[in-house]
Amino acid sequence: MCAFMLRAAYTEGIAIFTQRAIGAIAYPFQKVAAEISSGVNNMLQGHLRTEQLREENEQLKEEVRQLRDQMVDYESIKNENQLYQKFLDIKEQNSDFEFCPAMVIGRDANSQFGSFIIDKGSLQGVDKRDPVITSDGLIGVIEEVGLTYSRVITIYDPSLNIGAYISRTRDTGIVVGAVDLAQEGQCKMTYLPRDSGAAIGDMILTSGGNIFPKGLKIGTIKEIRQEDHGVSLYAVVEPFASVNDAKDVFVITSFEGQGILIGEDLGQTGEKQSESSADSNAAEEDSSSVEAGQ
Amino acid sequence: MIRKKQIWTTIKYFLYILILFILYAMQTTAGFFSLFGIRPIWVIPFAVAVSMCEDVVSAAIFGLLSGLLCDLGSRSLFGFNGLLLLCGCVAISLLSFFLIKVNWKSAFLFGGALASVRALLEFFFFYFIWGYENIQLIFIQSVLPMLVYTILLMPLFLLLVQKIKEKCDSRWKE
Repeated sequence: MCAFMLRAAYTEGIAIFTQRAIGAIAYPFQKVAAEISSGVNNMLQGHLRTEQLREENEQLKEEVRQLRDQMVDYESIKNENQLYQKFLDIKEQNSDFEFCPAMVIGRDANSQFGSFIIDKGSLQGVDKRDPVITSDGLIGVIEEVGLTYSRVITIYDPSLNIGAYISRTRDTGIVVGAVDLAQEGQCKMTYLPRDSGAAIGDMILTSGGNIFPKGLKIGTIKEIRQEDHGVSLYAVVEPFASVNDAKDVFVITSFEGQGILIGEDLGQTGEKQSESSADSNAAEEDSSSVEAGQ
Repeated sequence: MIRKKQIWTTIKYFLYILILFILYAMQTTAGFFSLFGIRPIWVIPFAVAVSMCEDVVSAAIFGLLSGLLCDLGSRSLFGFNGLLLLCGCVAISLLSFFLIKVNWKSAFLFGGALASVRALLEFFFFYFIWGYENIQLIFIQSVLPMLVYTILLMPLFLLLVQKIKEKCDSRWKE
């Protein structure tokens, strides 16, 4: 052994044959041992890091969750912003209007005239017979109010009469729903004088009164026909607002002149205030009504 | 045993009520299972199916609840459907218990009769007597298709209620 040591010292670290031979034999074992050791070490380290990784994973998941929430909020705010943007023009033109934004939460399966339920009620200041609009135009009126919901009847409904005028000719009449036209998403403007200059494409607006403010867009004339009795004309109206697809609407809870001519609650008295006998002059004054009893 | 029965009976009725409210939500959601713009009255077949499988008290409660949900989601006078379905469901429950065997044929019969009576009365009171022009269009294009669609759902709901009843009742009888 001493001889080996002296030999090694003498050759200044250069491996001698014996050393090389032993090294060569031991190398594969060392290699395998190293591999096993490395594997075990990795495995142990991996096992030890699992907790750490799990925590990181949870943190990342939480971050993703938060980012998703932010995205939802962002989309929601973006949609709201777009919606309010549309109504800004109406608000600027009619500073006396007070709006209550609402969402359509239900549609009546029985209704033939597209009546629907919105998510705002008396707690939010919505009242019976408040006008309901979209950014495109008039859509209907509140028929029934609950604490947190309201039912809206639409302009397709024959029980809703709206005093209106044609913006170009200033001819007045009453916009009312009709069974056959409602199926096609249209309504009609009745009591137009026989000498009316109304033409296809003319715009129809509300004439104002106790239920509807003046100047709300209703629709355009698609066709002009003669009434069966032949005394007056009526126009088939294509509403601007898409009643059956409306999702977000605005309720006009207050405007100048609202309810001034109302002397009694039609819903309570059961009185039918149909404008069927009203002439065009009456329409100009105030011809909007909701027939009671339905 | 009694406690087990109470638990499983509670679970059964909880399921019924849950389904009823889901059906109501489906009924008032635009475009849901809509065929050519026609939507069925989902809660009526379910109330009829419960009436056919359960006792008179349950039939009365589910008839009333279904009717009031119909009233809530429609323009009809509140209580109109409630009263109608209450009476109808009690009658169906009694007939199923004493006279008529419960199967898909009787489901069509009961469902058809109740839905038809309701649709006709509603059409009469809420459209016909108001004298709108072209009133027949509403009946032909809307009321009849909706009626047919609603009646066609009857066996489906009978099967569903029978399955729930069978599962829940067998659990406490074990």
